[in-house]
Amino acid sequence: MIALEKMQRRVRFRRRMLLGGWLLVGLVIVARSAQVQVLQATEWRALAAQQQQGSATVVAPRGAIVDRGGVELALTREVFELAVAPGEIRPAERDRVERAVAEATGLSLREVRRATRSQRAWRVLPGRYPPRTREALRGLRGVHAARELRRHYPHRDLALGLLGRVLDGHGRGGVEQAYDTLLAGRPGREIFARDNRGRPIPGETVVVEPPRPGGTVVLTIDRDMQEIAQQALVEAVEANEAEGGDLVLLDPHTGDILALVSVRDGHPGALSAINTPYEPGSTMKPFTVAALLELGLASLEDRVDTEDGSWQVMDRTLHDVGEHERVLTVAEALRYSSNVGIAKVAQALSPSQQYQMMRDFGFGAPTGIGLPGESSGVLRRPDAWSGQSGHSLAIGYEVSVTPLQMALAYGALANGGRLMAPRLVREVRDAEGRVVERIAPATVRRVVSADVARRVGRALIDVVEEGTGTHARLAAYRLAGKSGTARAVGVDGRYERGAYHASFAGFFPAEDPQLVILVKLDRPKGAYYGGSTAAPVTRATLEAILAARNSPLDRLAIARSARGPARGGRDGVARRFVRFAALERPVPALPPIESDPALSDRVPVPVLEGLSPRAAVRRLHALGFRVVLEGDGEEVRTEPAAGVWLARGDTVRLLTGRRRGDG
Amino acid sequence: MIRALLRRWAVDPPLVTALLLLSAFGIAMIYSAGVLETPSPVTEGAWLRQVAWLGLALVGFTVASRIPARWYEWVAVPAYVFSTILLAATLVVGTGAGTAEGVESFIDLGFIRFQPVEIAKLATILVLARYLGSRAEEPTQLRRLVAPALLAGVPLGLVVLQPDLGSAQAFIGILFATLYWAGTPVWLLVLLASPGLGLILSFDTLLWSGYFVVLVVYLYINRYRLFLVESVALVLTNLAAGTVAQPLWNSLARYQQNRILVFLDPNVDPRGAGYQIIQSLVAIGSGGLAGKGFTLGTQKQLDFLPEQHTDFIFAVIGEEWGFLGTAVTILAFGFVLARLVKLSQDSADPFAGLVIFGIFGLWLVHIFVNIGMTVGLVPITGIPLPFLSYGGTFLLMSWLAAGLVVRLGHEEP
Repeated sequence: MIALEKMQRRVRFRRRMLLGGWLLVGLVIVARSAQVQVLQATEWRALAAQQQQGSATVVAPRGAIVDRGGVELALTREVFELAVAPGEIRPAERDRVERAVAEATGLSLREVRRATRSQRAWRVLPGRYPPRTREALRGLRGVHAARELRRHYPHRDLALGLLGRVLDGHGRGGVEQAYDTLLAGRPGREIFARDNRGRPIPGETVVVEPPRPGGTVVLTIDRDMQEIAQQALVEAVEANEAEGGDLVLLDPHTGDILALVSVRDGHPGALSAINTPYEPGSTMKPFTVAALLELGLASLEDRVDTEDGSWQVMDRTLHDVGEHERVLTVAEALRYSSNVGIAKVAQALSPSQQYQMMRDFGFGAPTGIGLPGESSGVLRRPDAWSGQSGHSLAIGYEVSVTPLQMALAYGALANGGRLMAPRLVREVRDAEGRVVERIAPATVRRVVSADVARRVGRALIDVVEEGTGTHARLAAYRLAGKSGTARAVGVDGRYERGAYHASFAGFFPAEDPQLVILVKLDRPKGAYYGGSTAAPVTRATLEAILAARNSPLDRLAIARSARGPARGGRDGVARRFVRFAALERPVPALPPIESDPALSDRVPVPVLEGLSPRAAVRRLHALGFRVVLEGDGEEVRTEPAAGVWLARGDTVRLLTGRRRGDG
Repeated sequence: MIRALLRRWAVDPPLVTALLLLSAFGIAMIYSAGVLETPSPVTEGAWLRQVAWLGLALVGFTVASRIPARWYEWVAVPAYVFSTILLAATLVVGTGAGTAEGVESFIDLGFIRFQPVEIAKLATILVLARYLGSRAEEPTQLRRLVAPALLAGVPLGLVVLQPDLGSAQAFIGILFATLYWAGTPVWLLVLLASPGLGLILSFDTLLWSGYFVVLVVYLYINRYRLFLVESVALVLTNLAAGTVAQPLWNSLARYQQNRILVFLDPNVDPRGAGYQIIQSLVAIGSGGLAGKGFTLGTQKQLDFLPEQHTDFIFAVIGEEWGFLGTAVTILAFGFVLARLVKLSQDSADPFAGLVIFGIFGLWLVHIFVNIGMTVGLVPITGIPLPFLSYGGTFLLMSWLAAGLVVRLGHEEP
């Protein structure tokens, strides 16, 4: 009995101890829960919120690059790639989702179902969709959109080298690179609810910092001129089997670059007009003459003995090319591009005078155009000269210049002796279209007096009319200019046998210059003289520009410069040609030239059958149409069809297809 | 009428009502665990399967509560032998399953897949109760503890080999609970546990040395209460524990080591082993006082919470019902355990009392370790929460155990 009572007491004790222990365990857990859930709740909530939130940068749409008239040369389009996660679609909603997707995307229900009823976790829908499609599908469970910004160049490879391209969101080359920060804008940031695998929850995205879209860069380039220049140059490079070439068009009074194109390997993606210097040869001669006139060391009428085209000086013999009289005036030496004559008269210049004048015309120094990789060319200081250097420099050797430098120097002669800084960008606008910066034309310096400039200019008219540059001669207007042919330097730094740079530089119209043009062809085969290769390109380009209605030329000034009726008979021919073309099939001929654009505002679309696409484009440009080229075949067809009367400046679509039967 | 029927069926209405409520709440939370932002086939239909298992479990309960105690006493040894063989078999033919892929604790019979360890737990309770209940005197000597320790030690060793550290803790809980209820003095239990204690302390040489000195001094003072053999054995096993600690640690898998390390500091490996602790705490902590509402837990919805329908179901409760929900859940478990103690005490038969108390020990370990790990009190071991966690075998065995409890607790001698 006592034992039992003792045992019962012990059992009771054990139970109490046990309950106490159990209570303690329970209390510890409850206390811990209270600590976590009540005391630390705020911290854990913050941590939860932080985990459930993802953030991503929102790339800003890149700004556009437009020409001087606002025509877009490069722009960015926002497109969306749509994808379906079949596992995320609630079975009850599937029909609704499928119909909504089909309606918004324009895909057939079957195509949509192939994605939504797939066994795969992720299916991308075919195609890219505009923002409004994405908006229509916003918040739809299981449908995901990935934003893509696509850089688009509406004119394809037009001004390719000048514009550059965008790679991985960064500008590479040309304006895209030079103005990258401005064009790129500033990326924004968005926050979205996400799950443990980082998947965003649809419909719960908040843009906390909107992206700031990039600004617009307005170039001085004229789209039409660029197109004309590019086509003329590509064609000339091809026709002369040249390795490449450059063509620069600029406004001498403002320094505006109206067109700039470089072709290498048949492709207009180069920028050699800015970054590759060459030895200019005879195109340098006018500056030697200008220096002599400016310093009063010679006049255009001074006579010089050209030694029958062969002059031995400083252990070297200079030769002239072509027939001319033995004794020439300085003006005639320029006209016939006499190496002997120019080198002889240049002896009047001291090395420092010669060097200073060339520096003043901008040689040997970067122009400051602001594009990546600009070369300053090479112009050595007089202390590094040899005894021959003075003669060499006078005729454009021992110096290398970029095509742009040369064009700007001719611009100084055309602009009354004032050298202008090149202007490529007119203004910069922000995304809302407000002008952020306007770049005014800038004079670098006065190089020679207006009188000297005019006198040299007049001498250069003679070059075109009667001298070596006659191939550049225009029917209706007078052009001032100078051709040049210089031996090309090979990779080993020595002159290459039979390899030349042929160039022509000039301005137009000669009496009241509106346009400076520089054409250069690298290593043309066959007739390599600048006068017979580069000069015709000049003429073709200028004729096309004159015909194009919307070129930013001062029409009145050009009209004033037109030749008198005695020499201008061709205008009438051109006018008759246009009328003729409207009625019957015209024979392919040189583009007609319009001296008075107001004369015939409406012209018919010409018959282009049998022409190459390139020739067809030239014809259309010549008639003043804008051209949109489509397709990549050889047979051409226009829209509207041939014979339809259109206003000049209207757009003609040139459709090129494969010839039937070509397979 | 219906009430009377219910009473007859349940045998012990307070306990069974509490367990039914817990099971229903468990199914609700398993349903909630399947409500995810991106539905997963694993968790989405889990609640339905759990409902089916509950039906089976209630049948099991009904049957178990109708079987006389003598039958259980009789079946104890065969059940123990059979389940031990099954446990050993898992080492050869066991498969992993679902979230516990690394632990090959399942036996796949083709039509059904179950965990022998759950059977082994009950069988061990029965065999210990039978052994200890049949002794005339209370085990007041250390050597009398050797046999029970071996009975629990065999299945324990087998699950450690699987390796399933969570279940191993359950066997330790069963052993100590039954020994305690059989009247073993507490100091003897401490001595029995001393090698394990020594094992843990051996990670710090100084700490272990201090502990060892205290042990030796204690043994010397109480030299008349222990046989010399016992004392020598204790000293030797403690020494052994101290020396094998390092190799044993090295033999643990990397993830097991990490689980212990991150318990001390979750930030050691926040993306790996510490991840579960941190995410569990974020879920529970962000629930706050009142919770985010049923099915509305965001950490759960967004798939941050690991094992949300099995081992970490308590974290879902904490997130969606807040501190109030966790407190009520803990109180409910407290009531269940208190009821077990009461039934155990009231049973006149030592076998019955020991079985009930063994089940008490089993559930206590499960509840404490599971809730403790979700709130960061103990290291994470894969151990489910009775009646709440998803898992068919475990629910069935829990309800079978409940059937045993009500039968043995109410059987007149």
